[in-house]
Amino acid sequence: MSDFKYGDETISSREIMIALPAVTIGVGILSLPREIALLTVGADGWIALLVAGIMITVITWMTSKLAASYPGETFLSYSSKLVTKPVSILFSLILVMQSLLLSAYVIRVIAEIAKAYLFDRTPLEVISLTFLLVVVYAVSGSRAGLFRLNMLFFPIIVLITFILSLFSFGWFEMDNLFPIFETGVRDQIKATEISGLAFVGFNILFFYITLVKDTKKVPKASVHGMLMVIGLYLLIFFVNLGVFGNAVTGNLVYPLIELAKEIEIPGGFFERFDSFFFVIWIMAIFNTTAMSVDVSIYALQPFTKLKKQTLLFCMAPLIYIIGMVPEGSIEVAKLGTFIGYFGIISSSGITLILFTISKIRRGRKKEHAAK
Amino acid sequence: MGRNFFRRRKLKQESAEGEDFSTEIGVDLEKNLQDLQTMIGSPEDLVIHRLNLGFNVKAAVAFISGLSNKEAIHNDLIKNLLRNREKEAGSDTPDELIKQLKLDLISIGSVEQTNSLDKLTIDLLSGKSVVYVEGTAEALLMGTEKWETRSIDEPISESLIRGPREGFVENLQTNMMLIRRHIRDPNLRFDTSEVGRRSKKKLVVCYVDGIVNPDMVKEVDRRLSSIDMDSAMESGYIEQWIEDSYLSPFPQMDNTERPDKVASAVLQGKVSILLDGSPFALIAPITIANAFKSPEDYYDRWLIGTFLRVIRYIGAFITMFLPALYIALVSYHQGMIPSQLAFSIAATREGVPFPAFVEALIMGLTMELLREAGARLPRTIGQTIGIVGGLVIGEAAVSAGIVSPIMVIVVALTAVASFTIPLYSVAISFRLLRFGFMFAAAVLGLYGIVLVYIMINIHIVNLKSMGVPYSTPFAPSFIKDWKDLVLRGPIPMMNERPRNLKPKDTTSGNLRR
Amino acid sequence: MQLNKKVLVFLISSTIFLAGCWDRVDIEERGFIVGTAIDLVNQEKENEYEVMMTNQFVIPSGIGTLMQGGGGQAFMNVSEKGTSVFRTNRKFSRINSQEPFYQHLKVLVVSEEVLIQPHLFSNMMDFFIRDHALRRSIRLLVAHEDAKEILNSTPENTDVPAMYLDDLMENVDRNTNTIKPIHIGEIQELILNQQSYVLPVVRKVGSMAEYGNVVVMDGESNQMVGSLNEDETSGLGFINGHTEGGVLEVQVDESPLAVEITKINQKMKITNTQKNNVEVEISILIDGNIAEYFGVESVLDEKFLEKAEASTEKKVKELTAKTIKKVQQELNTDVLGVSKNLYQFHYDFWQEVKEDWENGENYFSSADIKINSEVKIDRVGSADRIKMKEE
Repeated sequence: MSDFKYGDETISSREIMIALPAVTIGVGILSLPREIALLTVGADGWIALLVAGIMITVITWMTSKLAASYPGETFLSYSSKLVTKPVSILFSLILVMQSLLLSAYVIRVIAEIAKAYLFDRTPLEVISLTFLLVVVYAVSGSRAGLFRLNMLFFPIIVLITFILSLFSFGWFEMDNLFPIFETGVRDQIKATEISGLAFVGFNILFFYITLVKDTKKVPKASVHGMLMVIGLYLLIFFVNLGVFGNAVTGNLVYPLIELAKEIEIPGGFFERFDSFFFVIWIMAIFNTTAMSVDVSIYALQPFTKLKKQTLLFCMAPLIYIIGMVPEGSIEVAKLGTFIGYFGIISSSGITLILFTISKIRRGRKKEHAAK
Repeated sequence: MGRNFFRRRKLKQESAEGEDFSTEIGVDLEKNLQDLQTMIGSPEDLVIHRLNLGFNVKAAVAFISGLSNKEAIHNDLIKNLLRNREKEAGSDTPDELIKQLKLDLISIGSVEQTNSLDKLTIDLLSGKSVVYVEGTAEALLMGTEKWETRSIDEPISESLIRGPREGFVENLQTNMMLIRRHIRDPNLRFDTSEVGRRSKKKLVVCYVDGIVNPDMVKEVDRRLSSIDMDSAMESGYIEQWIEDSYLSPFPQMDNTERPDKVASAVLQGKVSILLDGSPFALIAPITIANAFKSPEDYYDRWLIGTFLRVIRYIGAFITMFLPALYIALVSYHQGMIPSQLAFSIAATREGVPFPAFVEALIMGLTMELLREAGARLPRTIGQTIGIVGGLVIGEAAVSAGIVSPIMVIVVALTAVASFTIPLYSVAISFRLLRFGFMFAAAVLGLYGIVLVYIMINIHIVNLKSMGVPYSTPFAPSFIKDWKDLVLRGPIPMMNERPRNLKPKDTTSGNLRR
Repeated sequence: MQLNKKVLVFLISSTIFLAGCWDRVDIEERGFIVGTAIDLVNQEKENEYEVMMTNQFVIPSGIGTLMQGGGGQAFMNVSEKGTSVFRTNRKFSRINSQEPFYQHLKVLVVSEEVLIQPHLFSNMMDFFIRDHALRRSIRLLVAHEDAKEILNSTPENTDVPAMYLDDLMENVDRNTNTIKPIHIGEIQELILNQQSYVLPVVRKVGSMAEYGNVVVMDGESNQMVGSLNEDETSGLGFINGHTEGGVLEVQVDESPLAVEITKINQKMKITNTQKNNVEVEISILIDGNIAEYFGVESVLDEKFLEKAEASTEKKVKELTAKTIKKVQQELNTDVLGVSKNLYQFHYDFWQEVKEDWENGENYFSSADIKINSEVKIDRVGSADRIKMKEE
């Protein structure tokens, strides 16, 4: 009964478990089935998806294990213990960059999709800006509040995905999943690579684990979180392939939204379920953006000594401008791929480096102790 | 002259504030009476009864006629004083005499001795009667409060089909009695304090010691002690002073006229605040889920309770979203309306000169006007206004081509849905937010609606009520609390108090695991 | 200070809302298009055609609401010529006060002339598939003559021809010699898979429209290569599941018997994968009821039912044999779904024969396709027979 007031800036491992899928699931999965289907035959892509997912889960586990072994310490403080201070600053900035780019990319993509499915003439800039303003409003509130938002929205996302899958059942054809195991190894590897890009987002763990009360439970929680992502992705992938078949999935820009368009909900008040689905999905995209903006602000704070709000008002225009730079959807897609690679390589790289060093150090310490 | 006037005003103010004017009672009876009269300005209802206690010991009884029980004063006080004057021992000093009076003579339940004029005045003004005795600087205060009150009625603002029919009244003592009758636990606490610089009203913080989290009571006390105002006319004043965020559209405290609701809240580990003169008790903390809970949920069987709750959640969604959805679908996303319905809406809207937003705004405002008019008028006329206004204006507006018939359905459904929310103050905020949604829908269609929905969620997760997050137990989630959230579990299953309140004692009932 | 900032941010963000409403078009200003017909006008150059697009606009006041019946005509057909669908489409806004709105498009009618040209059909379809706002459930029909004439068929009890056509296609399960309606989403799948496919034909009969047999499209050039008659269509339906049910008329001891088919299941199995000797076994399982019987035998008799089942099986075999003969010998296009089966279950072999399946070596024509049919009659109706045997 020590603490009645909810410690505002501390979070529980359960919230990390939800935050991870909430950040990861966003715009990536909307187009992922197409990218996988283009490279693979039949529904073989699930192998790639699963392999990529498991690899990322392992890295996520390492990240959280690493961060959890320094409870209460910020990324900067524990990483400068492992590598030197300048290197840790560099790492920190890379991770901030990644989050900033991701949020810029997401606010752009949301405008692109909204323009395709909801609007005709409304300018991209306005769609992005309104979205960004809502994100800024969210981030300017309390950090614990953001985690609560994840908790509120994530179940809705899962629910709408299940509803979609359920109603797709009438359009699902087993035959569409065939032939099986016909994809070449090289294509599978390429598909695995592409799938990995949709798992960007676990870099929040570097920073947020500091705030967690029950650090010991975090590695397990984050693995659970990642498994949720994998499960949801696999479900979406299979339903997409089963309904459309490989060829069509490979030729739809956003197969997941088109899936919502294909199905008709019996007796539904809404005829075009795709618009509705996308509108709900905006909440998932919102979670991704809000968390990435917040993590970058949080990581930048030690360098600038500015107030959170001030920093936020400085970063928001930057994010907006980066988001508006690419011209046309091809450049946006290129930016997306770049961010995917950059994100996965940098966060996995940093994790691997730090994790190995910390293991070696610990090993030495033990040896010393033994001696 | 002008200067004199100014001085007098200043003096008066000082005396009223009572800070420098804590004059003690003197030994001179006449002086004391004069002081008293100056202090409260010798009003007409101040009754001063001079009497002789024998052996030329003078005494006086003073009371305010409308606030005191005259019968008790005459029978139990004055009669006793006069009847027993022969017995008084002449050797007694006035100080001993007054003690003797208190112990031996006066047959009134509560008797207090004081030497502070300040306290004496305030008690006098709250209905007690005073006995002065010549030669002593002490006075006796008798608990003879009695005034006209309303009898216990059925709570008007929260009527239930099944449940107790008693409601709070304006009398604090009666209200406390009503709560005590529900909870006979000796740990039930009523912490009394005074509120209002000038009104000095009594305010009671009610909780069950051993259930409630002590920090919560401390927090409530801290906030209450910060109150600085002339008077609190209604518990709403208190609510608005101590709430967490005055910018929020959502109420952060529940108010109720129902003793059973207060009793069940304090048993869950909440704190209730009662104010003298107000039939509305405050309950804190609350969360967004409380907006959908009604005591009746628990009085009916769980299946019915759950059903009613689900209906209320649907009602809340309709209240907030339906007009906005109509605008978004009709002005932006016509492809989402089933074809036949789309054609039929298009046909009915032909000739309507306004865009859907204006149409919805007109009807929405009309509805609010009707509701407000109905609330202001006497109840019998109010109902008529509702029916006549609704029917006639709706019908006329349709045939005049100002709005389409579908719009009338939408508005009517919205109005009906908003009545399902048991917490009136939340229902009002929902109705208000509805206009925000409508505006967003008019500008950005469904996209606007979802952005506003996200914004409201952001607001809710950042809002607190007495330090408890408003969005709990959804998030931060307390899964054990979910059996009394959207669903209402069977009573035997609900053997634990809500965890989100962090109560001292989590288990209710005997089903300890 | 904090408050001022908040107010400032709020004011700045609210200016966006003031500038909003780019897309706001109220519902009554939309010109709802429910049907579109595409006809060929002439061929300008190689691969460049002038097409005529006819859009059927709904006049909502003509349909009326529940409260008041409609008056006047409920639809309006507007035609425009052009070389691409998109450009032609833009022309409509010049002549119609309302903005053309395709999101409620139900039926697309394409004339045979368009289908005969190579690649033209797939090019036309691109517009309807690409636009995110269009539904994937738009149904496609083929007209033998002018497609726009089809959009004029209005039987007494309907207001809008396109809606009538849409409803018409809901009833296909009552008939074996029609196929399930095909929607745009499927067309995309068919075009992408480069498999040959069939499209349903609609014919104008008086003021009514009749939904009937199919035309056969080549998968590569998306060009019409021929058509199947009604019997052949129902044969095709049995083979690849285009048909969901319907009535089959057979002869039992020279008395006509109508079997109502309630369920059809087919299973294709490729038993031999040698290039020149592909063997395909298709087993068709049919459940049915007796709907009508003119004879005098007792339908409750087990022997009679066996006879009935046998003759139904025979009938199915006859029908399917005709179809197979036609598509293998005459049209030389695999609309039976053999290639799909090969792709799905014999992927490696399919990669080998892919190029020479319908063209070149023409392995499809030489494939040996066997049909096994099995009919089960479950229920016989409420009466045994309505007349007794004449002794």
